[in-house]
Amino acid sequence: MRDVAVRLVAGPLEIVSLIVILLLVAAAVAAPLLAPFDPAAADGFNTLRGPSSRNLLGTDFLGRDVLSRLIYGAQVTAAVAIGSVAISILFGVPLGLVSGYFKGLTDTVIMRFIDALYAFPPLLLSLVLVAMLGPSMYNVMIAVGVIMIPTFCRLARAQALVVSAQTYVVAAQTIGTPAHRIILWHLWPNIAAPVIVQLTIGMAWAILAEAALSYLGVGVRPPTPTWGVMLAEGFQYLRINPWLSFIPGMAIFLTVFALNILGDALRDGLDPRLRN
Amino acid sequence: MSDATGDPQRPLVSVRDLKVQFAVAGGRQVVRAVDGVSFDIHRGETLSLVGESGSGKTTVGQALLGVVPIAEGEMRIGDVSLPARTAADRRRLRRSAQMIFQDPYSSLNPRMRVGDIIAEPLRANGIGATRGERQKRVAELLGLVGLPADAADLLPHEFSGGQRQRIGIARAIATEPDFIICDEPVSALDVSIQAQIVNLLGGLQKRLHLTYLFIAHDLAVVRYVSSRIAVMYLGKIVEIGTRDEVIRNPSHPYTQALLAAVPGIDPAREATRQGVMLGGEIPSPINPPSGCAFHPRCPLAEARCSREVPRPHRLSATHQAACHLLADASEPSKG
Amino acid sequence: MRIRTLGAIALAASVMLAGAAAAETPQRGGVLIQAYVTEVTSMDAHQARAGDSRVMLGPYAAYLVYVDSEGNFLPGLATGWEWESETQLRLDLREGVTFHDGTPFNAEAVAFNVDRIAGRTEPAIVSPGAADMRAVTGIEIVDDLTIRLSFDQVRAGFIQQLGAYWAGMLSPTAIEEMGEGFALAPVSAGPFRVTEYRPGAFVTYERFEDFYGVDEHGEQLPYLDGMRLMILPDNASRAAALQAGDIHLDQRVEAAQVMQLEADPNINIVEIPGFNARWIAFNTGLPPMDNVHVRRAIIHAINPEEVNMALHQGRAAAANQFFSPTSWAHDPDAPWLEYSPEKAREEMALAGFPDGFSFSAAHYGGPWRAEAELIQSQLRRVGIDMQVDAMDLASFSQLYRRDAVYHAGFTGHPMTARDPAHLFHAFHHSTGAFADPSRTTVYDEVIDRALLTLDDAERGAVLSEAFRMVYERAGEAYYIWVPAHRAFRHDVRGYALFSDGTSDCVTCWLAR
Repeated sequence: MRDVAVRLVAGPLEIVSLIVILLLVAAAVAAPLLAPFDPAAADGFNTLRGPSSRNLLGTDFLGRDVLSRLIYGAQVTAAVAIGSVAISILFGVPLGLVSGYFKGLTDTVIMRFIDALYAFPPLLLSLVLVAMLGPSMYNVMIAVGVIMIPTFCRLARAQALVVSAQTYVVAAQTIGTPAHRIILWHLWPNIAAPVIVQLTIGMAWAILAEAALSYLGVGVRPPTPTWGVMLAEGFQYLRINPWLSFIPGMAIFLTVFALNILGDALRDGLDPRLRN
Repeated sequence: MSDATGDPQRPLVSVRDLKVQFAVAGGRQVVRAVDGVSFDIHRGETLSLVGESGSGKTTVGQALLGVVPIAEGEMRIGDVSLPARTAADRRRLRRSAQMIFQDPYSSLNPRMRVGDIIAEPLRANGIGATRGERQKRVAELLGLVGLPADAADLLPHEFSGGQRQRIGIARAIATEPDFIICDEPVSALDVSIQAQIVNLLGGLQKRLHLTYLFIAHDLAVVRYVSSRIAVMYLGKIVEIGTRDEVIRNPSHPYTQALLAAVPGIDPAREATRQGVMLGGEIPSPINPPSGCAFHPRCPLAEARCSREVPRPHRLSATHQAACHLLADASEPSKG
Repeated sequence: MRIRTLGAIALAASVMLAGAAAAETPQRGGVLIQAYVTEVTSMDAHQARAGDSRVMLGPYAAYLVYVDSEGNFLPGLATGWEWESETQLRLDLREGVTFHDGTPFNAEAVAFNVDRIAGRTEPAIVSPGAADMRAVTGIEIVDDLTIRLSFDQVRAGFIQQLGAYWAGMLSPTAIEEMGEGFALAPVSAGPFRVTEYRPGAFVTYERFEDFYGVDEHGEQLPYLDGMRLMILPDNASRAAALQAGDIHLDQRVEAAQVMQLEADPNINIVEIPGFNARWIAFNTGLPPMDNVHVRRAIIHAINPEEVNMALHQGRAAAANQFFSPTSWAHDPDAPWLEYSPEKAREEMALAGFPDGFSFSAAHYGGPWRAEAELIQSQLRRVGIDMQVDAMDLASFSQLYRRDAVYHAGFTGHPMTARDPAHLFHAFHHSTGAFADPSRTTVYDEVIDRALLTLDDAERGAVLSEAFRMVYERAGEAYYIWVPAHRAFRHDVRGYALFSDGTSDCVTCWLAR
């Protein structure tokens, strides 16, 4: 773990990325303390104002405080990123491990299902899912999580195929260790590293997906602010007040960028070949 | 060689006419990895199974442990007929038969602590109800294989190859088995370390009354550890006998070729050896040669070698070899 | 005092919009590209379910009668009409007209269309005009070009209904031959033929060479070779496409884009003041919305002026009844429930919810998205929690109007010169196409009376009576009248609006 920690602060880019993510988490956790205003409180007589001492990032088209919305939006962004990746790992990784360990018919059945899921255009599928489930933060998590299941399943399966050919798995079989324990003791710890790297990429993807769904108007139910919703709303006033979409756009960009940098750093840190 | 039923010296392990086949190329072709192998191993002895890679020697070991399915034949370890049909039999078998692997690196999970690796067979077989009991047993086992007790808290990559093999041996003896399959346990190690491990295995055999099936790809190591030696070629045993019979009086040209590759054995036979230097590669078991499978590489092959499969010929009560050239010299064995 | 105009800007079809352009000689050729915010529920005119469907239907569908902004009837496929008695109407049909598929237009075709809208053909369809056409109790084909319709009772305003968007005359042979496929390739006798329709994406039209219409110089209409109508739901994208020259005409410009487009010298903007009423319809059958105090509390809590300032730059006006001053049916003396948080709290206490209550509302996007969010915030200030769901129009029709699972729906209507009693009927009569999902019958008697009253002044009085009933029941929450805006590039000439605020571009041409 020391190696991983060292890699994460290896360069200035990694340090900045770590700070960005920590800020996001801090904003999400402490939103009620940090936000100066209620993010849903409109003031129709004070709309589209630029930054001022009262509203540090100005107000939006309904006169709501942009800073407060940005901070509360981090809550949804973080929740969707963590929640949807958790769903996809919870379902995708065990399926992939079982598929890659047992092979044969089990593998065929599971992968047929996963391939079918994978055949849908991902954003379209999540659109349909949210439309079916109804707009709410949890349903967005489910919709985004479901479409990432194949990614994690395939990753886990490919790794499980490699690891289950290792002699220590054969050794475990000869010892008589039951299959579920072989998967838990031998397969899972040895495929965790690539899954963790994929996790950061998955989170970045989930943030973009949430923004896209919100932009299309099927995401989280208003007035809950999300960065995607802010981006979509701001886009209407792009010519007049460009910062309204620039600010959430920048927040999304920085977060996704930071997650990608950290994903790369984690990959290097978790790879035993790159250890000294 | 008939089954020794009722014999007080009943063998611990008995294998009769074992065949193992694998489907390849999408099931269109069949590899006869093991093609009719029979042998017995008596309590306390070490039978070595020698052959090049592809001879099927490792598959025999895996078949004994139930890792690969058998196509035909009968096997027995102790009182358990294989493959074990009941859960109770499987449990007994797992406790009584274990394996030591060739590669001390890939056979140990790199993310598991040594204590957990050695305790895995205990947990899997429900030995040692509490963690404390298991820890005590692990410390004991580490002592038996010559490792300090605090090794239990370390990860495999913190050990050398020889030390890792000691960990693998500790894991194999954890359940107090009667029978251990040693799958080329020293061939991945430095020559200087090999002797230590061989000595350890020998010491443990005496101390714990172990019976070994010792799988090896050449005769260099086995001559020190074996009671008896069986030489395999392309899924079949071509020669079997006591250590001295096989080493001093190798009767099959393949055995002679293997011996020729080992320096420092019996210089008296030097002249013979020159005639049987082994050339070429072992043929594919998907499409084995006709007649005697060894004939394309055999310097002494005659016309009938490519047509007829040679039967085993009894050279002594304990010594047999399957070669047409021996037919004139002795009677074919029965059974 | 009732004003009987739509304002100087909305002119009848075939009248030039820009005075300066009138002197120019129209140039033939070219393909006009226009964009609209949403798509029709069906391209089969009889089954379309929203007034603004005219944008997509108008180019291909031909109507018996057109209504100008003065409320005057203009001849279409019918060249004459006469009430032979109080319950008998004779229509004289235009000679030599064929549908796009070559089927001749005649009295038999009219009879088929009337029966189909009424739901009397097989397979039976559901049309928003069903109630109007079911009033026709007898059809007599006098000769090929003359038809006589009999009614169960006096039907004031029936002629206007012949010009409603759903009353297009469609080819009977095409309907019979194509079955359900008709909605994808509809056939009528309008100025353009539909050549391709991709639901949700675009419609392309091509000039119908045998169109019956001519301009004032006797020149064959239309001038354009064809048209393409793109569905671009995003308001900013439509405006950007117009400025970039990718489209010639934006059939719906929202307030947020008006300022941006006004600054562009290549763009003309048409404003129709007070044209669209926006309001919240209550599902008065679903508790707690069955409680009049709950409804009053909601109306009192809405601040229309804030909606106007925030979302319409002050161009709109606070609404207090169904018809804006643009319509002659507007009643300046009608009472209303003004914005007052104090009164809202009083009504909440009366309703038994002094600490607030919760209800669900649906809308189908467009301008309602932002308005609903602002009103949601206003309601929250007095403790009312409104859960808002956005959906498409088809889901809205299903979930709000048919299944009645929402407490409220954001809706609206244009101030067309269509007979006001019929418009009021559509939204309030228990058989109306857009009625309260609870199907309340409280307004049925007064609406039926209005429809039977031929004299305008008398009908106005009956309508005022109906407005008072709405007020007393607090049956719906009017909040704003907004101007409608259309924007087009300078090379678009001959742009004209129908009385219902839409344009079929029959007289449009492109200057080169």
